[in-house]
Amino acid sequence: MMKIKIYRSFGKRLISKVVLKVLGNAVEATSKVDKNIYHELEGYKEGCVVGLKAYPAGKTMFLIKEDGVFRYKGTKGDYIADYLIVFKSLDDSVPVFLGFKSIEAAYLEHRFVLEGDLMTSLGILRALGCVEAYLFPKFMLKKLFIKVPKIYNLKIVGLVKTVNTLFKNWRVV
Amino acid sequence: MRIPDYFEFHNSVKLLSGFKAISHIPFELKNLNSERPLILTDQTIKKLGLADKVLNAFDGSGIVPVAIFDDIPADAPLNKINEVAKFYRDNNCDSLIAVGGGSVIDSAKGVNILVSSDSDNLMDFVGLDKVSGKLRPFIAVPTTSGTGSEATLVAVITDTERHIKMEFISYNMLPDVAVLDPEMTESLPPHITAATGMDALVHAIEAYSGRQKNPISDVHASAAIKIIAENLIPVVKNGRDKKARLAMANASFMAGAAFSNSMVSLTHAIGHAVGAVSHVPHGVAMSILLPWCMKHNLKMAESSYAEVLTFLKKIEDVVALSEKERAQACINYIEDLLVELNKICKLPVKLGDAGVKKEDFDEIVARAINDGAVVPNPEFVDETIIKEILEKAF
Repeated sequence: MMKIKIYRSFGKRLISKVVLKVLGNAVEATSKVDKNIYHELEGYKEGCVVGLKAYPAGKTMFLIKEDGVFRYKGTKGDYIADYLIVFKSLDDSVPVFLGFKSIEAAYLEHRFVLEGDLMTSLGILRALGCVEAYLFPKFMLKKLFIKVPKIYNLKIVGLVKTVNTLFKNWRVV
Repeated sequence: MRIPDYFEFHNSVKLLSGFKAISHIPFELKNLNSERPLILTDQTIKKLGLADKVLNAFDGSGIVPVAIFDDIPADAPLNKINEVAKFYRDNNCDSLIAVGGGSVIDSAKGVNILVSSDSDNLMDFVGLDKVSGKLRPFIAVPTTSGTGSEATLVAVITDTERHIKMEFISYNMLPDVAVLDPEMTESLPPHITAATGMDALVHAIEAYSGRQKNPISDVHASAAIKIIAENLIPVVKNGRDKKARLAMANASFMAGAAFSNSMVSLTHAIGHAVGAVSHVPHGVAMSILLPWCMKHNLKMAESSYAEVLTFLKKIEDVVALSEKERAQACINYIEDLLVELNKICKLPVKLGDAGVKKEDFDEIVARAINDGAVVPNPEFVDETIIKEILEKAF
């Protein structure tokens, strides 16, 4: 009988882990400096938990709304997400995390499932689109969006704040 | 034809289409190993005698439905779904038959989630793809030709206590069998026939022109558009035309299958909000908003609209036109169709005539921009654009 061997893709797992951390911190950082992102997220109640994971191997990254801002909580917490975005595979999540595909396009291609109240979830997707506008260069953004989300601060401010938040949260894994 | 990088298509519904199709329901139940069906319907359907027609189909079959729940209200309220699910369990039912329009079929989908999962809390299943596994046997018998609910993976259920509508989306919720029998729709009055028929047309056009379009959904959508173009006006003029009724039922089913796999877009996003805020019937809102939303999308959806015209009109009428002219002619065709329907059965052509007030606009905009149907729209949408469309359609 042939022995079955499944190769683990450490590269994709690593990318997924690193980029989720960057993305989570970028949401926390940019929502403080961009009124559009702040506006999209202000309707969600305090304590609201948003999770992002890649099925089956990826861990879930959590963001929790505290003092009006979604804060990065890493992947170790035992939270029950109000909104959980589950990519169907690592192959589906990596292009989104690296800016080769917008979260909107991934939604349209059934690349992820969204658990939670669909009627109130669009603000989160739009906010993630705005965060991408800070993280990725213009030539990539033009391919990702029909109309690139407007950002209300200098791109460099968003990036510096993200790096700053990453340092602040470096222990949060 | 553009093939998307990746797409999914699912439609597992067995279709029974034709005259006396309802007489096959007992046979289909046996195929599904079911003997104790529970029938769901509403008071209007009961008064029209349509529920009795379905009941009479069981004569001599050896199957007797356990009961008829004939008071399913509009908007599929959560408390009624819990009540029906309890009844289903208490009486050992083993299948569901929904006889009615979108609300009845959506209610049956909600009941089926609960009874199949042994859960008391429908909230556990709110969202996308949260219903897993095979559900109980479920037969849908639509009594309108518009919602396409008999072919869709969506159920919209209302929590009347919290005043919110909850969306459940899962391929597992599709009925096992859809029964399209012209006898079930022939008593529809002309204005409802027109509004529901336009709803089906909007499903098909939006599925064909949206960003989720794929070759398989296109086949369903294009066939639906052709059938509606040929049959909508005849069936509104003569509701007893059984062939046209059957054709429209088929179009509605195909449009439903299309938009289940290539989601509807802006017309629905605004239309849902107009319905919720100003209580305009869904089909009426759809027909008024369609041309205005198409005008907004014209640049990005030009090639799709140009193709849609070839389904709406004879090829010799469009062959000399450029793509740009065809796309514009497609919108003109829809506008002419609405004017004609207005003449025949007074189908409103403006939001103001349908009971919408200008002071409702802000709430409509706030709801529409958060409707999932804005995502597949081919052109960019924001609050300002939605307000402009409302102003124009007013």
